[in-house]
Amino acid sequence: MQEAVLLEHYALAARHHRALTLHCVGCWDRLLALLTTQHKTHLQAVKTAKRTLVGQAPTDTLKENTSDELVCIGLPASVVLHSCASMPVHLVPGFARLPNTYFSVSMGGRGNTKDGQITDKGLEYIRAVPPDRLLLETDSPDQLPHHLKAPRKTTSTPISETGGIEITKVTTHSTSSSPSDSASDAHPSQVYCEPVHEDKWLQYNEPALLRYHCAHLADALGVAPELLAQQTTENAHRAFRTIARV
Amino acid sequence: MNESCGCGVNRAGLSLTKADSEQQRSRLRQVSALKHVTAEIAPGKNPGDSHANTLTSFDLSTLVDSHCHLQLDPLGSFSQSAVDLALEMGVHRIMVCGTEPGDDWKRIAELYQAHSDVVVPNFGLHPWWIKKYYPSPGNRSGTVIQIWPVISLFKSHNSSSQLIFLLYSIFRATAYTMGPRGLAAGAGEPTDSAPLSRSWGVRPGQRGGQGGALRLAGSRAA
Repeated sequence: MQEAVLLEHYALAARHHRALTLHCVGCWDRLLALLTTQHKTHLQAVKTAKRTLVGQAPTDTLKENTSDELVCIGLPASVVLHSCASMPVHLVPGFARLPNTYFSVSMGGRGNTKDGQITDKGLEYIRAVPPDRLLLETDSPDQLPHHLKAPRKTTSTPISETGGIEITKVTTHSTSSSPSDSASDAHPSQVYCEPVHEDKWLQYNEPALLRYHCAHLADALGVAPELLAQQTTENAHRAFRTIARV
Repeated sequence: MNESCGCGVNRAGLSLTKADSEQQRSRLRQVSALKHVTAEIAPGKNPGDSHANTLTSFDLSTLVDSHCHLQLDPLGSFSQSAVDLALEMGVHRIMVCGTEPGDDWKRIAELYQAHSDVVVPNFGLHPWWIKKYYPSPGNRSGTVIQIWPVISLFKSHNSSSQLIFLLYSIFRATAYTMGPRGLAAGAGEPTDSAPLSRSWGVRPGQRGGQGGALRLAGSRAA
Protein backbone atom coordinates (compact mmCIF):
# COMPACT_ATOMS: atom_id res chain seq x y z
CA MET A 1 0.00 0.00 0.00
CA GLN A 2 2.72 2.44 0.97
CA GLU A 3 4.60 1.51 -2.14
CA ALA A 4 1.59 2.36 -4.28
CA VAL A 5 1.22 5.72 -2.54
CA LEU A 6 4.91 6.38 -2.93
CA LEU A 7 4.72 5.68 -6.65
CA GLU A 8 1.76 7.99 -7.01
CA HIS A 9 3.60 10.77 -5.23
CA TYR A 10 6.69 10.06 -7.29
CA ALA A 11 4.69 10.44 -10.50
CA LEU A 12 3.09 13.63 -9.21
CA ALA A 13 6.45 15.14 -8.29
CA ALA A 14 7.78 14.15 -11.70
CA ARG A 15 4.84 15.68 -13.52
CA HIS A 16 5.26 19.00 -11.74
CA HIS A 17 9.03 18.74 -11.51
CA ARG A 18 9.10 19.15 -7.77
CA ALA A 19 11.33 17.77 -5.06
CA LEU A 20 10.22 14.56 -3.39
CA THR A 21 11.12 13.92 0.23
CA LEU A 22 11.15 10.33 1.41
CA HIS A 23 11.63 8.87 4.84
CA CYS A 24 12.53 5.23 4.85
CA VAL A 25 12.62 3.08 7.94
CA GLY A 26 14.20 -0.32 7.73
CA CYS A 27 13.76 -1.20 4.07
CA TRP A 28 16.34 0.84 2.25
CA ASP A 29 17.18 -1.97 -0.15
CA ARG A 30 13.60 -2.13 -1.34
CA LEU A 31 13.42 1.64 -1.73
CA LEU A 32 16.65 1.61 -3.72
CA ALA A 33 15.27 -1.05 -6.02
CA LEU A 34 12.09 0.95 -6.50
CA LEU A 35 13.86 4.21 -7.29
CA THR A 36 16.31 2.49 -9.59
CA THR A 37 13.46 0.90 -11.50
CA GLN A 38 11.78 4.29 -11.85
CA HIS A 39 14.99 5.80 -13.14
CA LYS A 40 15.46 3.06 -15.69
CA THR A 41 11.86 3.44 -16.83
CA HIS A 42 12.48 7.13 -17.27
CA LEU A 43 15.62 6.56 -19.34
CA GLN A 44 13.77 4.09 -21.51
CA ALA A 45 10.89 6.53 -21.98
CA VAL A 46 13.28 9.31 -22.96
CA LYS A 47 14.93 7.04 -25.51
CA THR A 48 11.58 6.07 -26.98
CA ALA A 49 10.39 9.67 -27.08
CA LYS A 50 13.54 10.80 -28.86
CA ARG A 51 13.18 8.04 -31.41
CA THR A 52 9.59 9.00 -32.05
CA LEU A 53 10.40 12.66 -32.35
CA VAL A 54 13.29 12.01 -34.71
CA GLY A 55 10.93 10.05 -36.91
CA GLN A 56 8.17 12.65 -36.88
CA ALA A 57 9.44 16.14 -36.28
CA PRO A 58 11.63 18.43 -38.34
CA THR A 59 15.02 19.14 -36.81
CA ASP A 60 14.29 22.71 -35.82
CA THR A 61 11.39 21.70 -33.54
CA LEU A 62 13.10 18.68 -32.10
CA LYS A 63 14.77 20.44 -29.21
CA GLU A 64 11.67 22.23 -28.07
CA ASN A 65 9.50 19.18 -28.30
CA THR A 66 12.08 17.05 -26.58
CA SER A 67 12.23 19.34 -23.61
CA ASP A 68 8.43 19.34 -23.33
CA GLU A 69 8.35 15.62 -23.57
CA LEU A 70 11.05 15.26 -20.93
CA VAL A 71 8.95 17.15 -18.44
CA CYS A 72 6.03 14.82 -18.99
CA ILE A 73 7.99 11.65 -18.60
CA GLY A 74 10.55 13.14 -16.31
CA LEU A 75 11.85 12.53 -12.86
CA PRO A 76 11.13 14.54 -9.72
CA ALA A 77 13.33 17.61 -9.51
CA SER A 78 15.14 15.76 -6.77
CA VAL A 79 14.65 13.00 -4.26
CA VAL A 80 15.60 13.92 -0.71
CA LEU A 81 16.17 11.03 1.65
CA HIS A 82 15.16 12.55 4.94
CA SER A 83 16.64 11.38 8.24
CA CYS A 84 18.62 8.75 6.45
CA ALA A 85 21.31 7.98 9.03
CA SER A 86 19.77 4.54 9.46
CA MET A 87 20.66 3.61 5.89
CA PRO A 88 23.16 0.74 5.63
CA VAL A 89 26.48 2.15 4.44
CA HIS A 90 26.80 -0.35 1.59
CA LEU A 91 23.64 1.05 -0.01
CA VAL A 92 24.93 4.63 -0.15
CA PRO A 93 26.71 4.22 -3.54
CA GLY A 94 23.52 2.79 -5.02
CA PHE A 95 21.47 5.81 -4.00
CA ALA A 96 24.30 8.18 -4.96
CA ARG A 97 24.27 6.75 -8.49
CA LEU A 98 20.71 7.95 -8.95
CA PRO A 99 20.59 11.50 -10.29
CA ASN A 100 19.51 14.32 -8.01
CA THR A 101 19.24 12.14 -4.95
CA TYR A 102 20.23 13.82 -1.71
CA PHE A 103 21.00 12.59 1.78
CA SER A 104 19.61 14.76 4.55
CA VAL A 105 21.12 14.23 8.00
CA SER A 106 20.96 15.75 11.45
CA MET A 107 22.91 15.29 14.65
CA GLY A 108 19.95 13.98 16.61
CA GLY A 109 18.57 10.47 16.62
CA ARG A 110 20.28 7.60 14.84
CA GLY A 111 24.03 7.66 14.44
CA ASN A 112 24.61 9.68 17.59
CA THR A 113 25.37 8.59 21.11
CA LYS A 114 23.48 9.85 24.14
CA ASP A 115 26.34 12.12 25.11
CA GLY A 116 26.15 13.93 21.79
CA GLN A 117 28.96 12.26 19.90
CA ILE A 118 28.55 10.81 16.47
CA THR A 119 29.04 7.05 16.45
CA ASP A 120 31.73 5.35 14.40
CA LYS A 121 29.02 3.82 12.25
CA GLY A 122 27.36 7.20 11.82
CA LEU A 123 30.64 8.78 10.82
CA GLU A 124 31.36 5.99 8.37
CA TYR A 125 27.96 6.59 6.83
CA ILE A 126 28.35 10.34 6.49
CA ARG A 127 31.82 9.97 5.02
CA ALA A 128 30.37 7.59 2.44
CA VAL A 129 27.88 10.21 1.26
CA PRO A 130 29.25 12.31 -1.62
CA PRO A 131 29.70 15.88 -0.32
CA ASP A 132 27.66 17.28 -3.17
CA ARG A 133 24.69 15.20 -2.07
CA LEU A 134 24.67 16.04 1.62
CA LEU A 135 21.96 18.19 3.22
CA LEU A 136 21.53 19.34 6.80
CA GLU A 137 18.24 19.20 8.66
CA THR A 138 16.95 19.54 12.18
CA ASP A 139 13.64 17.66 11.85
CA SER A 140 12.51 20.00 14.60
CA PRO A 141 10.73 20.03 16.96
CA ASP A 142 11.83 16.36 17.17
CA GLN A 143 15.31 14.89 17.08
CA LEU A 144 16.83 17.13 19.72
CA PRO A 145 20.29 15.73 20.49
CA HIS A 146 19.86 13.65 23.61
CA HIS A 147 22.49 15.34 25.74
CA LEU A 148 20.81 18.74 25.26
CA LYS A 149 17.44 17.57 26.55
CA ALA A 150 16.15 18.97 29.80
CA PRO A 151 15.95 16.38 32.54
CA ARG A 152 12.55 16.06 34.12
CA LYS A 153 11.79 17.84 37.36
CA THR A 154 10.44 15.37 39.89
CA THR A 155 10.00 17.51 42.98
CA SER A 156 10.00 21.20 43.53
CA THR A 157 9.45 23.57 46.42
CA PRO A 158 7.99 27.04 45.89
CA ILE A 159 10.45 29.84 46.38
CA SER A 160 8.51 31.24 49.31
CA GLU A 161 9.67 28.25 51.38
CA THR A 162 13.28 28.27 50.28
CA GLY A 163 14.32 31.84 50.47
CA GLY A 164 14.09 32.58 46.77
CA ILE A 165 15.85 29.53 45.36
CA GLU A 166 13.85 26.85 43.69
CA ILE A 167 15.04 23.45 44.77
CA THR A 168 14.72 20.98 41.99
CA LYS A 169 15.66 17.36 41.79
CA VAL A 170 16.31 16.20 38.30
CA THR A 171 16.32 12.81 36.74
CA THR A 172 17.58 11.80 33.36
CA HIS A 173 15.63 9.81 30.75
CA SER A 174 12.63 12.03 31.11
CA THR A 175 9.27 11.06 29.74
CA SER A 176 7.47 14.29 30.48
CA SER A 177 8.46 17.89 30.85
CA SER A 178 5.41 19.12 32.74
CA PRO A 179 6.24 21.48 35.55
CA SER A 180 5.62 20.41 39.09
CA ASP A 181 2.22 21.15 40.57
CA SER A 182 3.44 23.18 43.48
CA ALA A 183 5.40 25.51 41.21
CA SER A 184 2.65 25.99 38.64
CA ASP A 185 0.06 26.83 41.30
CA ALA A 186 2.03 29.74 42.62
CA HIS A 187 1.82 33.18 41.07
CA PRO A 188 4.09 33.58 38.03
CA SER A 189 6.02 36.40 39.60
CA GLN A 190 6.86 34.14 42.54
CA VAL A 191 7.78 31.08 40.52
CA TYR A 192 10.07 32.51 37.89
CA CYS A 193 13.42 32.08 39.52
CA GLU A 194 15.16 29.34 37.58
CA PRO A 195 18.57 28.12 38.63
CA VAL A 196 21.24 29.33 36.22
CA HIS A 197 22.34 25.83 35.26
CA GLU A 198 18.96 25.12 33.68
CA ASP A 199 19.83 27.49 30.87
CA LYS A 200 21.84 24.79 29.19
CA TRP A 201 18.88 22.46 28.68
CA LEU A 202 16.79 22.69 25.57
CA GLN A 203 13.17 21.64 25.57
CA TYR A 204 12.84 20.90 21.88
CA ASN A 205 14.73 21.09 18.64
CA GLU A 206 14.34 24.06 16.31
CA PRO A 207 15.77 25.41 13.04
CA ALA A 208 18.18 27.79 14.80
CA LEU A 209 19.97 24.75 16.19
CA LEU A 210 21.09 23.88 12.67
CA ARG A 211 24.17 25.93 13.45
CA TYR A 212 25.00 23.44 16.18
CA HIS A 213 24.31 20.49 13.86
CA CYS A 214 26.58 22.02 11.23
CA ALA A 215 29.47 22.74 13.61
CA HIS A 216 29.19 19.33 15.24
CA LEU A 217 29.12 17.45 11.94
CA ALA A 218 31.96 19.54 10.49
CA ASP A 219 34.08 18.67 13.49
CA ALA A 220 33.38 14.98 13.04
CA LEU A 221 34.22 15.18 9.34
CA GLY A 222 37.34 17.22 9.98
CA VAL A 223 36.33 20.13 7.81
CA ALA A 224 35.68 23.78 8.57
CA PRO A 225 32.08 24.56 9.52
CA GLU A 226 32.04 27.27 6.88
CA LEU A 227 32.95 24.73 4.22
CA LEU A 228 30.22 22.34 5.33
CA ALA A 229 27.70 25.19 5.49
CA GLN A 230 28.64 26.41 2.03
CA GLN A 231 28.57 22.95 0.50
CA THR A 232 25.26 21.89 2.03
CA THR A 233 23.64 25.20 1.13
CA GLU A 234 24.76 24.83 -2.47
CA ASN A 235 23.35 21.32 -2.42
CA ALA A 236 20.05 22.59 -1.03
CA HIS A 237 19.77 25.12 -3.81
CA ARG A 238 20.30 22.35 -6.31
CA ALA A 239 17.88 19.96 -4.56
CA PHE A 240 15.13 22.51 -4.05
CA ARG A 241 15.52 24.42 -7.26
CA THR A 242 12.80 26.91 -6.68
CA ILE A 243 14.40 28.42 -3.57
CA ALA A 244 15.52 31.95 -4.21
CA ARG A 245 19.15 32.43 -3.28
CA VAL A 246 20.00 34.59 -0.30
CA MET B 1 -25.34 33.84 40.82
CA ASN B 2 -23.88 36.78 39.07
CA GLU B 3 -21.10 36.97 41.61
CA SER B 4 -20.15 33.34 41.12
CA CYS B 5 -20.20 33.74 37.33
CA GLY B 6 -17.97 36.74 37.65
CA CYS B 7 -15.63 34.78 39.83
CA GLY B 8 -15.50 32.00 37.26
CA VAL B 9 -14.67 34.42 34.51
CA ASN B 10 -11.97 35.95 36.60
CA ARG B 11 -10.55 32.58 37.41
CA ALA B 12 -10.61 31.60 33.77
CA GLY B 13 -8.95 34.86 32.86
CA LEU B 14 -6.28 34.37 35.49
CA SER B 15 -5.51 30.81 34.43
CA LEU B 16 -5.24 31.92 30.81
CA THR B 17 -2.79 34.61 31.79
CA LYS B 18 -0.81 32.15 33.84
CA ALA B 19 -0.70 29.63 31.04
CA ASP B 20 0.39 32.29 28.56
CA SER B 21 3.09 33.66 30.80
CA GLU B 22 4.32 30.16 31.58
CA GLN B 23 4.55 29.50 27.84
CA GLN B 24 6.39 32.75 27.32
CA ARG B 25 8.85 31.95 30.09
CA SER B 26 9.32 28.49 28.67
CA ARG B 27 10.15 30.03 25.30
CA LEU B 28 12.57 32.48 26.85
CA ARG B 29 14.34 29.61 28.60
CA GLN B 30 14.53 27.75 25.29
CA VAL B 31 16.04 30.76 23.49
CA SER B 32 18.48 31.35 26.32
CA ALA B 33 19.50 27.68 26.35
CA LEU B 34 19.99 27.61 22.59
CA LYS B 35 22.25 30.64 22.69
CA HIS B 36 24.09 29.08 25.61
CA VAL B 37 24.63 25.85 23.68
CA THR B 38 25.87 27.57 20.54
CA ALA B 39 28.10 29.88 22.54
CA GLU B 40 29.68 26.91 24.25
CA ILE B 41 30.54 25.29 20.95
CA ALA B 42 33.78 27.11 20.69
CA PRO B 43 36.62 25.97 18.47
CA GLY B 44 40.21 26.11 19.58
CA LYS B 45 41.15 29.24 21.43
CA ASN B 46 44.69 29.13 20.10
CA PRO B 47 45.34 32.50 18.38
CA GLY B 48 47.33 30.70 15.68
CA ASP B 49 44.33 28.61 14.74
CA SER B 50 42.65 30.03 11.69
CA HIS B 51 39.32 28.90 13.11
CA ALA B 52 39.80 30.45 16.53
CA ASN B 53 36.37 31.98 16.56
CA THR B 54 33.31 31.26 18.53
CA LEU B 55 30.55 29.46 16.75
CA THR B 56 28.42 32.55 16.70
CA SER B 57 31.07 34.39 14.73
CA PHE B 58 31.39 31.76 12.04
CA ASP B 59 30.22 32.90 8.69
CA LEU B 60 27.39 30.42 8.40
CA SER B 61 24.90 32.93 7.22
CA THR B 62 23.34 30.85 4.50
CA LEU B 63 22.43 27.62 6.22
CA VAL B 64 19.38 25.79 4.92
CA ASP B 65 17.30 23.55 7.16
CA SER B 66 16.17 20.89 4.71
CA HIS B 67 13.46 19.37 6.87
CA CYS B 68 11.53 20.59 9.87
CA HIS B 69 8.01 20.95 11.17
CA LEU B 70 7.78 24.55 12.26
CA GLN B 71 4.01 24.25 12.28
CA LEU B 72 3.96 21.72 15.11
CA ASP B 73 3.85 22.62 18.77
CA PRO B 74 5.72 23.55 20.84
CA LEU B 75 7.54 25.24 17.97
CA GLY B 76 4.38 26.34 16.18
CA SER B 77 3.24 28.58 19.03
CA PHE B 78 6.41 30.61 18.69
CA SER B 79 7.02 30.54 14.97
CA GLN B 80 7.92 34.23 14.80
CA SER B 81 10.46 33.84 17.58
CA ALA B 82 11.80 30.63 16.01
CA VAL B 83 12.24 32.28 12.62
CA ASP B 84 13.93 35.32 14.16
CA LEU B 85 16.30 33.12 16.14
CA ALA B 86 17.02 31.00 13.07
CA LEU B 87 17.95 34.11 11.10
CA GLU B 88 20.15 35.26 13.95
CA MET B 89 21.92 31.90 13.85
CA GLY B 90 22.39 32.10 10.09
CA VAL B 91 19.61 29.78 8.97
CA HIS B 92 18.04 31.66 6.08
CA ARG B 93 15.87 29.04 4.49
CA ILE B 94 13.63 26.61 6.33
CA MET B 95 11.86 23.77 4.55
CA VAL B 96 8.66 23.40 6.54
CA CYS B 97 7.12 20.01 5.85
CA GLY B 98 3.41 19.43 6.14
CA THR B 99 2.26 15.94 7.03
CA GLU B 100 -1.48 15.95 6.46
CA PRO B 101 -4.04 17.79 4.33
CA GLY B 102 -6.34 20.09 6.27
CA ASP B 103 -5.26 22.15 9.28
CA ASP B 104 -1.67 21.03 9.05
CA TRP B 105 -1.31 22.24 5.46
CA LYS B 106 -3.19 25.41 6.31
CA ARG B 107 -0.64 26.17 9.01
CA ILE B 108 2.11 25.64 6.45
CA ALA B 109 0.38 28.10 4.12
CA GLU B 110 0.02 30.63 6.93
CA LEU B 111 3.67 30.27 7.87
CA TYR B 112 4.65 30.88 4.28
CA GLN B 113 2.48 33.97 4.09
CA ALA B 114 3.94 35.29 7.34
CA HIS B 115 7.60 34.49 6.53
CA SER B 116 7.70 34.16 2.78
CA ASP B 117 11.38 35.09 2.59
CA VAL B 118 12.45 32.31 4.96
CA VAL B 119 9.85 29.55 5.02
CA VAL B 120 9.64 27.23 2.04
CA PRO B 121 6.31 25.41 2.17
CA ASN B 122 6.28 21.68 1.58
CA PHE B 123 3.05 19.73 1.30
CA GLY B 124 2.99 16.04 1.83
CA LEU B 125 1.55 13.08 3.62
CA HIS B 126 3.00 11.29 6.60
CA PRO B 127 2.44 7.52 6.52
CA TRP B 128 0.57 7.74 9.77
CA TRP B 129 -2.24 9.26 7.72
CA ILE B 130 -1.99 7.10 4.64
CA LYS B 131 -4.91 4.89 5.63
CA LYS B 132 -7.02 7.94 6.30
CA TYR B 133 -6.46 9.45 2.88
CA TYR B 134 -6.09 6.24 0.92
CA PRO B 135 -8.82 4.15 2.48
CA SER B 136 -8.61 1.43 -0.14
CA PRO B 137 -6.15 0.43 -2.85
CA GLY B 138 -8.71 1.34 -5.48
CA ASN B 139 -9.14 4.86 -4.13
CA ARG B 140 -5.78 6.53 -4.23
CA SER B 141 -6.65 9.92 -5.47
CA GLY B 142 -7.65 11.51 -2.18
CA THR B 143 -4.40 13.34 -1.60
CA VAL B 144 -4.01 14.44 -5.15
CA ILE B 145 -7.46 15.98 -5.19
CA GLN B 146 -6.93 17.83 -1.94
CA ILE B 147 -3.62 19.21 -3.06
CA TRP B 148 -5.13 21.42 -5.73
CA PRO B 149 -6.85 23.97 -3.45
CA VAL B 150 -3.48 24.58 -1.85
CA ILE B 151 -1.81 25.05 -5.18
CA SER B 152 -4.44 27.57 -6.23
CA LEU B 153 -3.90 29.37 -2.93
CA PHE B 154 -0.26 29.80 -3.76
CA LYS B 155 -0.82 30.68 -7.35
CA SER B 156 -2.75 33.71 -6.15
CA HIS B 157 -0.15 34.58 -3.56
CA ASN B 158 3.10 33.42 -5.02
CA SER B 159 5.00 36.50 -6.11
CA SER B 160 8.39 34.84 -5.88
CA SER B 161 9.73 31.57 -7.13
CA GLN B 162 9.82 30.04 -3.69
CA LEU B 163 6.81 27.80 -3.90
CA ILE B 164 7.80 24.24 -3.60
CA PHE B 165 5.42 21.40 -3.85
CA LEU B 166 7.09 18.64 -2.02
CA LEU B 167 5.64 15.26 -1.47
CA TYR B 168 6.50 13.65 1.76
CA SER B 169 6.00 9.96 1.71
CA ILE B 170 7.32 7.46 4.11
CA PHE B 171 8.31 3.93 3.64
CA ARG B 172 8.16 1.69 6.65
CA ALA B 173 9.23 -1.89 6.96
CA THR B 174 6.17 -2.70 8.98
CA ALA B 175 4.06 -2.24 5.89
CA TYR B 176 5.53 -5.29 4.28
CA THR B 177 4.66 -8.85 4.85
CA MET B 178 8.30 -9.82 4.54
CA GLY B 179 11.06 -8.52 6.70
CA PRO B 180 13.04 -5.58 5.38
CA ARG B 181 16.02 -7.80 4.73
CA GLY B 182 13.96 -10.45 3.06
CA LEU B 183 13.31 -8.45 -0.05
CA ALA B 184 15.81 -8.54 -2.86
CA ALA B 185 17.21 -5.21 -3.92
CA GLY B 186 17.44 -6.41 -7.51
CA ALA B 187 18.64 -3.70 -9.80
CA GLY B 188 19.63 -1.53 -6.87
CA GLU B 189 22.50 -3.67 -5.70
CA PRO B 190 25.59 -1.48 -5.52
CA THR B 191 28.95 -2.60 -6.72
CA ASP B 192 32.37 -1.93 -5.31
CA SER B 193 33.29 0.15 -8.31
CA ALA B 194 30.38 2.51 -7.91
CA PRO B 195 31.49 5.96 -8.98
CA LEU B 196 31.38 8.44 -6.15
CA SER B 197 31.76 12.15 -6.27
CA ARG B 198 34.74 13.72 -4.63
CA SER B 199 35.16 13.13 -0.93
CA TRP B 200 35.74 15.60 1.85
CA GLY B 201 39.27 16.87 1.82
CA VAL B 202 40.94 18.33 4.86
CA ARG B 203 42.90 21.42 4.01
CA PRO B 204 46.29 21.99 5.64
CA GLY B 205 45.92 23.77 8.93
CA GLN B 206 42.33 22.74 9.33
CA ARG B 207 40.98 20.77 12.19
CA GLY B 208 41.08 17.12 11.38
CA GLY B 209 39.02 14.16 12.39
CA GLN B 210 37.04 13.42 15.47
CA GLY B 211 37.44 15.72 18.40
CA GLY B 212 39.81 18.20 16.77
CA ALA B 213 40.04 21.60 18.33
CA LEU B 214 36.31 22.03 18.51
CA ARG B 215 34.92 21.96 22.00
CA LEU B 216 31.34 20.86 22.28
CA ALA B 217 29.19 21.57 25.25
CA GLY B 218 28.67 18.53 27.41
CA SER B 219 30.19 16.11 24.97
CA ARG B 220 33.71 16.43 23.73
CA ALA B 221 34.68 18.60 26.62
CA ALA B 222 34.25 15.58 28.87
